[in-house]
Amino acid sequence: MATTKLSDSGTRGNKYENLSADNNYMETIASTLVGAGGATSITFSNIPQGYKDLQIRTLGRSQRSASQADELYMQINSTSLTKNHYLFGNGTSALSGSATAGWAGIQAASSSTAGVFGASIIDILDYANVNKNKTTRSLSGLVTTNSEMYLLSNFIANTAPITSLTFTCSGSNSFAQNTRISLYGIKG
Amino acid sequence: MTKTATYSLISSQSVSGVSSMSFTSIPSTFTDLKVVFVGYDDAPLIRIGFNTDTGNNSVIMLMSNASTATSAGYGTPYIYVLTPDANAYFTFSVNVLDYSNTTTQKPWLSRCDISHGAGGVTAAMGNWRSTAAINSIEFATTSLTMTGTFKLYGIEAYK
Repeated sequence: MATTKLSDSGTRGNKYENLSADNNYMETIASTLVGAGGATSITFSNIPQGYKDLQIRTLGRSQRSASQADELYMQINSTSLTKNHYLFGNGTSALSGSATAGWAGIQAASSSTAGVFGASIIDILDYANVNKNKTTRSLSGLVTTNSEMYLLSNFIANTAPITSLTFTCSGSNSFAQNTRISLYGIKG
Repeated sequence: MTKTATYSLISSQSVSGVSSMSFTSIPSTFTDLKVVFVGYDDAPLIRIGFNTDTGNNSVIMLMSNASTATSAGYGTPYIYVLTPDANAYFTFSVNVLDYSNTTTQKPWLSRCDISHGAGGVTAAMGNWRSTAAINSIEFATTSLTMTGTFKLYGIEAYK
């Protein structure tokens, strides 16, 4: 088995420091900040293939009415995903389940206090590998009157390299102003 | 499309036997912040704080130990509420999104992995109910036991 040497220090207090990623191990690829008019969808296309993994970082709010929260959905290469599983917590209880495939995170909606946004960090490993089906993982949450957080995973049985990602809210709802979705490439 | 390297180390601080530590004078030039801790702490919790304000916080947490998954909510911004073994290393990371934005409140996401003793895996989602730009971050525990290294990284979005 190949091993990677992490650190020469090996002394207490320093032994595991280099488990944190190297400086500048990410590169910016694209980012969208939603303006006053809102946005029905956000798409990153022509994603470069030169990275090991992708990471999406979002600060999200939807214009969905009469609700504190809305879902954040993701499509890969303009195709809906096929499996979803999650671990959920609301501050009182935890449960696991599955939901509509492509549900990648939670975000605030119109009934949440102004200025409240959900946060999601989504990782897609080996996105350019032509031998692997594509799996995503998300850490996502929203703190509002009825707070909720999730560990989410989505899957699509497709080995095609990922060249585009599309994000939407539930139904025909739009992203609200100041929603930000940023795409990064992570070096191998 | 111009690619820009990011995930830049802003500060690294090693501490030994302290009850708190702070990153101060954080530059506002990045989009997100990430803090990585590797070390140990015998106390059963560590909390985060922003701009010396320990109020105006809410956090919900998902926790799993060897047998059950639970969720809890707090008004104190805890990263974890577990009891690590004495002098046993663990790690946590905290992501603070849009920390210098002055129009949105400040949500943060954390993961903590304590794989020994009465530990477990924790994920937390917090919100500092302020639109002020974050210029300092504090980590505090309940006794003089926090030992390890904190690294603060800045992550910039594409411009």
